Amino acid sequence: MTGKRTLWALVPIVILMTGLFCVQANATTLEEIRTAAGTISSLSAGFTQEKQMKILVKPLISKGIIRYQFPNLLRFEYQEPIKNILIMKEKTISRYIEKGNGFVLDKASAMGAMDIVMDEISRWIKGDFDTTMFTAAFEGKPEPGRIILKPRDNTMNSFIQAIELVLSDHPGVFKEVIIRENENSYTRLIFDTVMINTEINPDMFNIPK
Amino acid sequence: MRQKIQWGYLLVLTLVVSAGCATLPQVVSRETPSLDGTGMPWALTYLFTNDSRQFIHSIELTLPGDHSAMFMGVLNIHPRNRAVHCVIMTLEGLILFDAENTGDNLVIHRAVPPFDSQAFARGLISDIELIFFRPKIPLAESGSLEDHSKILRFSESNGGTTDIIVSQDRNLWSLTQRSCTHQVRRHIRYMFQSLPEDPILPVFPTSITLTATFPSRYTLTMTLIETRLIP
Repeated sequence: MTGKRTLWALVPIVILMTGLFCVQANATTLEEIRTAAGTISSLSAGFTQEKQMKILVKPLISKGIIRYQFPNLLRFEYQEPIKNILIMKEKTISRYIEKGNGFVLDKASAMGAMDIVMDEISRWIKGDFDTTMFTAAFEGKPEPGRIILKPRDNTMNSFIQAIELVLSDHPGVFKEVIIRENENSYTRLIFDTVMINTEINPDMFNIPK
Repeated sequence: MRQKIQWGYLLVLTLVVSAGCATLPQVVSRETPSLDGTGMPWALTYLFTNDSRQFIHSIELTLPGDHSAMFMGVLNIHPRNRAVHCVIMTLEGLILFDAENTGDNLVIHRAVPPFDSQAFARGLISDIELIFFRPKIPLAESGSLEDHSKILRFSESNGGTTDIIVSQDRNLWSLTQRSCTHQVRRHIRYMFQSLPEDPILPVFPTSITLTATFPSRYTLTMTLIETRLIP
């Protein structure tokens, strides 16, 4: 896989991971966030994804649930409009797409370079957003503030300009994540029913039935 | 060994002969199609909207060797001037391909690997036009096939044809594009859940499957998520 293609393979994962760590910030500066980042054993949240592009008559809405179990289990599940589940287990990633009678492994989603992604995740979990892939900056205004991540790599910069992590008024919860592709296109993930450190059925990280 | 080679020649010869013998489905009963207000057969009104519309589909691309990939597609069509704007995204919403064709002019706004070639863009736009727009070539004949399906046959001056065939229950429609030697180039299957009696009421295929056989082989399966009028 070429470097450019590797980066492309990482982008969807990065977007999903952005959703993952967005439920654990609880401070108002980057340094405070780093300091405050505690141990998360598990988390789950519902999400609504709003895709806006110039071409769309109305925003495209997707809905789903994200579940994470420390240190390296993740399930990112889209329930509509296209049912599919992305499961990360240690350094293996698989996507399952519902086709007729059940979920089928999507062979095309096999992605390399998971070491890089897992390294990113482990950093985010610790509240360290300034990583090998992104630079991070905190903006206090408008309140309650947001973290702006910008890709370090020019190739990635050509399709993701920035990722904004919007803080909520509730400590420990980010309100939303905005992935800006260009001036005409963005994806917004809005989280609800966030649960931290609750038990998640281990079956959730196995092949879906 | 010699026998094996002879069998090989025989196999190749059979394939060549059978390829040369490709035929068109025979129209057993010729009928004049009933026409709509614009003088076009009603069948075309069912299959091809006149309105500018947006379609959102899940798209499964299948390549030889059991390779497949799933995407989400946004498609704006403007049938009156045969213009198309097409976006292909990952299931997470990341844009992989974004191109507009205004009839004469193809503009690619974004194309990332493996969609970053002019040939891919032109092929995709051509497939979209074939699926969503009325054939530009003249209607040559219409009637019924042996199985009582209805057929509209359009013919090009070079001998190429496009057949639109409607099943008796009208739930399954197909469009087949053939070369001048009657070799199938594209076959499109349109699945409707149910068609209203009145073709004025808009109804759209819930599933469209395009099978390409030349110059490359692939299958596109498009499942409708939603459609809207473009204001």
